[in-house]
Order: sequence, then C-alpha cells, then structure tokens
Amino acid sequence: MSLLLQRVRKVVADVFDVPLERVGPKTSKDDVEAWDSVNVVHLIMALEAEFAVAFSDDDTADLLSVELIVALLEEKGAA
Amino acid sequence: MSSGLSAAAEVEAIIAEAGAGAEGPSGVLKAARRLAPLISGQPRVALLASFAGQLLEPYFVVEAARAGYPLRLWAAPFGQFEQLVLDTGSALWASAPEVLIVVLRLCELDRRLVDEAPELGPAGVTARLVALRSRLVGLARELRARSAAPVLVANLALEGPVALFDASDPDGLAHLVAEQNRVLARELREVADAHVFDYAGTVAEVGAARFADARLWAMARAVGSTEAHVAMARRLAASARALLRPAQKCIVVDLDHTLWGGVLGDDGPAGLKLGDDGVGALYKDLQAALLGYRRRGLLLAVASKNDDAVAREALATHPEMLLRPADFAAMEIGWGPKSEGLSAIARALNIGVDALVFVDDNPVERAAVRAALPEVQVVELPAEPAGYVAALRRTPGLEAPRLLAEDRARAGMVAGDVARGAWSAQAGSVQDFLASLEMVAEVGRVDEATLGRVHQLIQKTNQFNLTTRRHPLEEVRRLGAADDAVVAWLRLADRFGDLGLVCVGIARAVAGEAAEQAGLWEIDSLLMSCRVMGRQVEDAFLSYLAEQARGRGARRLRGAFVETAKNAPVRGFYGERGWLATGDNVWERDIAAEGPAWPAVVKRRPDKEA
Repeated sequence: MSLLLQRVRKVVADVFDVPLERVGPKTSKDDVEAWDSVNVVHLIMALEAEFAVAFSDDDTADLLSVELIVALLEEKGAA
Repeated sequence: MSSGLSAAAEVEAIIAEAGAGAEGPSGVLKAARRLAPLISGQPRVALLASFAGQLLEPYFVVEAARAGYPLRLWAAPFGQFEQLVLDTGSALWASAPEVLIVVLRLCELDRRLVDEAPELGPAGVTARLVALRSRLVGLARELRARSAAPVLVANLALEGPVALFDASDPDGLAHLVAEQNRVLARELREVADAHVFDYAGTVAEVGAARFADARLWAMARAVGSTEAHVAMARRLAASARALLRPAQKCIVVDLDHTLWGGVLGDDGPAGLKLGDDGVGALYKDLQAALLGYRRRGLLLAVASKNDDAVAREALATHPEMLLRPADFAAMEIGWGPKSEGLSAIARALNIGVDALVFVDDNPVERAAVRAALPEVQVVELPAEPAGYVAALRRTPGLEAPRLLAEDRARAGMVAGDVARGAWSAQAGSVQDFLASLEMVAEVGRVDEATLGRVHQLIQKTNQFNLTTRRHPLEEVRRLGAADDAVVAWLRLADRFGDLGLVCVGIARAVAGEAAEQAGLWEIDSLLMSCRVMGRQVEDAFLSYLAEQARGRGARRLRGAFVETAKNAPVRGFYGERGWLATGDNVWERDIAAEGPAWPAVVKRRPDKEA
C-alpha cells in the first residue's frame, strides 16, 4: 500500500469518523454515511491542509472515493 | 464534583493535543468528537445563518474549549430564519439555546447589490440595506419575544473589493454599509440584551481575500476558507462567552521582557528597552494596551521575580513608563513562585484566582502557573514582543458586551480602597471605624436606568451571593415590573468616594395557597460586591429588601443558601442574623411586626420618591 494511499485513508477515516480498517481504496461516498454534500467541505479542507494542495472547482467534483482522491493527488504532484 | 474536575482536565488534554490548529481540519474534527461527551452539560448556542452553519460546529466546539469555556453549537439549516424563530415548536427552540446568534451575510441575502449599485444610486442602495437591517432587527425582536437568552446579530460586511474609488464617494457603498451598521447597533440597543456580533470585523481580521472561498460556497454554502471557519468560531465563542460569563477582573503582568525589554536587575533602569523607538516601542505599546484595559475597568497587578524596591523605583521614575505604581491594584515582587504571588493578589483584591489573567513572556513561568493554578487564565504570549498586544487583545474574557459608567469609574474606586485600608489602621473599634467611613446608602427598586448594572452584578458576583441565580436581563426586567416580586438595589458612597451600585436583591411571593395566606415571600437572590464586605452594608440592604416586600404584603421571609465553589463566606448569613432554620440551608423570619433593622453606621439617603 503506497504511503499516499495510507495518508488518504487516514484523512477519510478522521473526517468521517469511521474506523481506519474499514477504509480501503474502494471506499466511496456510497459506503460512508457522513460523506455528504456538506461534509465533503470538511474533506476538502482536510486534504488541502494535509497535502498542501489546492483543488479546482472541477477537482472537487471528483472527490468521490479514496481511489479517486489518490489519483487526483498524484496528478497534483502530492507525494 | 470529581467527575466534573476530571472532565475539565480531559477537555484541556484534548485541546493541548489538538495544538494551536497545527493538526489542521482533521485534527479539529477529531478533537470536537472527543469533546462532545465531555461538554454535554455546557450551554448551547444556537446559530441562524445564511450559510452552512453546521460546518462551523466542530471549529466552534474546539475554539470555545480552547478559550477555557466549552460551549455547544446548534446550527440551523442554512437560510432558515423567521420560520424557525416564529414556530415555538421548531428545532431551534427544542435545542434550548442559551445564546441566540443571527448571521445574515449581505453577499448572500442581497447577492447583486454591489453590481446593481451604479444603477440604484445611493438612495436605492440605502433602501435595500434598510430592508435587510429591518429584517435583522425584526429577528432580534422576535427572538426576544420568545426567549430570555442573550441575542447576537451580525452586522453587514461587503466582503470583497468594491470599485477602486468607492471610498472616495461620500455615498459610496462602503460608507452606506457602515452607516446602516451604526443604525443597526442603535436599534439593537433598544432590544433587551441584544448585541452586535462584529461579522465585518471578523472578515477584516482575516482579510476579505483570505476569508472567502467561492468554491466551497458554491458547493455547500460554506462561509469561507478554513481560516474563515477558525476565525468565525473563535469570535462567536468569545462573544457568546462574554454574554454568559462574567469578564475576568484583573490582569497580572510580569515585568522583565514583558512590560519592558531587558532585565532590570542586569541592565539597570537606563538599560531597559522602553520608549518610542525600535523594540522599546513594542513594550510601550503593551503598556498602553494594559492602560486601556484599566480604563475599561479591569484591575492591573504585577507578579515579578525582581528586587521589590528596585522594581518599584523603576516603575515610579523611568521616564518612558506609561504604567506607574498607582496603576496597579496589587504588586507581588520577590523571589517566590509566581503562583503564590497570584494567590496573594487574588486575596488582596478579594477576587477569585479564576478572575485573574496572567501575562508573562516566560513559557516556564506560564507552565508553572498553569500547573499550580489551573483556574488562572494564562495568555500565550508569542516569543516576539511584536505580537504581545495582539495576543492580549485576543484573550477571551477581557471584554464585556457593554461598558458601563461604573466600569470606567472602578479604577478610581480601588484607589479609594487603598486609602480606606490606611484609614482602617488608625481607627479604633470596628464600629468606630465603620462610623468614621461616613457611609451613605441610596436604595431603590430596579428601573431602566439601573437595569444594566443590576443585571451585571447578578452575572458577575461570586462570593457574596446567597443563591448565584444568573437571571437573564429580560427576566430581571420582568420581575422588576411584577406585583409579586421586588428587585432592589443599594448604592453606596463614603468619605473616600462613590462606590457605585453594590447590592442587588430579589424577593418574590411564594406560590401556593398556604404560602399566600401566610404572606410568605422568599429571597430569590441576594448579592453584594465584595468591595464592601464587612461594613454592615448587607444589613442595611436586607432591611430595605424586607421593607419593600412588606410593602407588598409579605409577612414572613424565607432565605436560602445555595452552595457554589465561591460563596462559602455567606454560608451562615441568615443563621448569624438569628433567622430560624426551617430546612436544609433554608431559614425564615417573621416580618409582620417588624423587619430586620437598618444599621446605625450606614446613613440612609431619603428616597427620591419621598
């Protein structure tokens, strides 16, 4: 498991208050109750702080699963 | 009690772990979740906002706990105001809020105003702003009509760049908005216990450019950036706290590296950095800021490890010193632990250590005071003096929502206390001493002119307070106007000066047929500023309170003592006066024939009405 994936899992677990072991690459907004259109703001804020990146308007629409987040961060050059 | 203490310690540990925001948003969310079960008994603040207020909740919980006064937040779904307020069965009222906050953003409620302004012209813009202002004041009135909780209403902010020469036009947008904010402040003054939440100031503090996050707003109606959430939470929590809890009473400052640059013992007075140039100006600015708080009614004191005589000499004679020995109500200068100095200051000023704010540049001293006296509020001064004033101004608990004339006069009153102390050393017996003070009391029932001070005393008096019932302002006004209650006050002056309004009491008829037949009234509240303890002023006031109750049909009075952490000095108040114990901490006295006597050492000024 890449370090990036692990860090994203941790942020998702912390933001939505789910146990870390229940968060895998495939975990998406459909599996997590708190992952709604309001709380996704907390996710964006947490990811931007953790990885020192800024998401564009388009990016924010892609924050739908752990996998997609990792891909987006890789694209942005986050290590 | 013990579980309460450990909960407080746990809250502190969680906050320490979360750090000063270093953990970022996920740290805030985690900390807020861990705090939730520990603060279930804390007051709840309700927020009605034009943005997604629920996003503020974790930040609010963490910032309030960080400031030492945990609070909870109930946030209405965004955009719901009047319907929640008007329906007493709504979720707003079900949340049992103790502070009510309304934040309607100009940029959300009137989204096109800035762009339409050129066409609307000043009169058109003003009309639109007046409509919004009226809505805000209307909401405050509706809230007041349904609850006694304090109300905060946000002022209006433009939140973004306007035309380059807008400020050059006397009818420019920025001026028109400022004008309406001023009217808003005036109109809210007319609503009991309603105040302005300085939203415009919050945006300005962060900077409009950094406050805004158009992306997060478009996505979920978030008020702004992460930074905006932190600043809003901090200011909302500080404002709510100021309305719920008495302000701190005394700022205790260190000397070396705090009031001046350098070490007096090493550098000598001439070597101190203090003046109008260079780094010395930063220390002088801190002195000026402290002097400003003194003018607002806070007491100042010194706790320093220094040679006492040398330090006093420097304070008295250094040409650049803004603060002089007379500005300090107490000084503890020596080589013992500062925690002991702080305790001695609290004792000397007759206030609790939890009313102290401690300002010291040395992190070791701060940690030692925190460990020995966790109740003391310790200011986290930054390493550089350039940040001292900002750190002080951000300290929660230094400001009250309204500055009363009595606050401004307090500094002079305490100077009078020092003179009274010297006088006391010369006088013979206690009675002689009290008589020599030439005390004159004016008594009366609460009216609009005294309501503010009466309510303030109810909120802040800890020691001489028999029941510590913190009635909201609106409740005090209601009781003051009721036929079956009396809200009374006493104002005292003596040969050394005016001590102001120092006693408040509330008596009310006990409900029930038997009680009514017996003419039984109870003393709901009885409290006195500790400044005048031990002068029989309480007896004068009790006599007046009983007299007023008699005048309304009371034939028997009941008094109770409700124990708190602070009011042990008055535990035996009724018992010592020969009242009959009729239950656990409950006493009664017949007043049908005669009430408690007015003491001879206090002269009663003839009633105004008489």
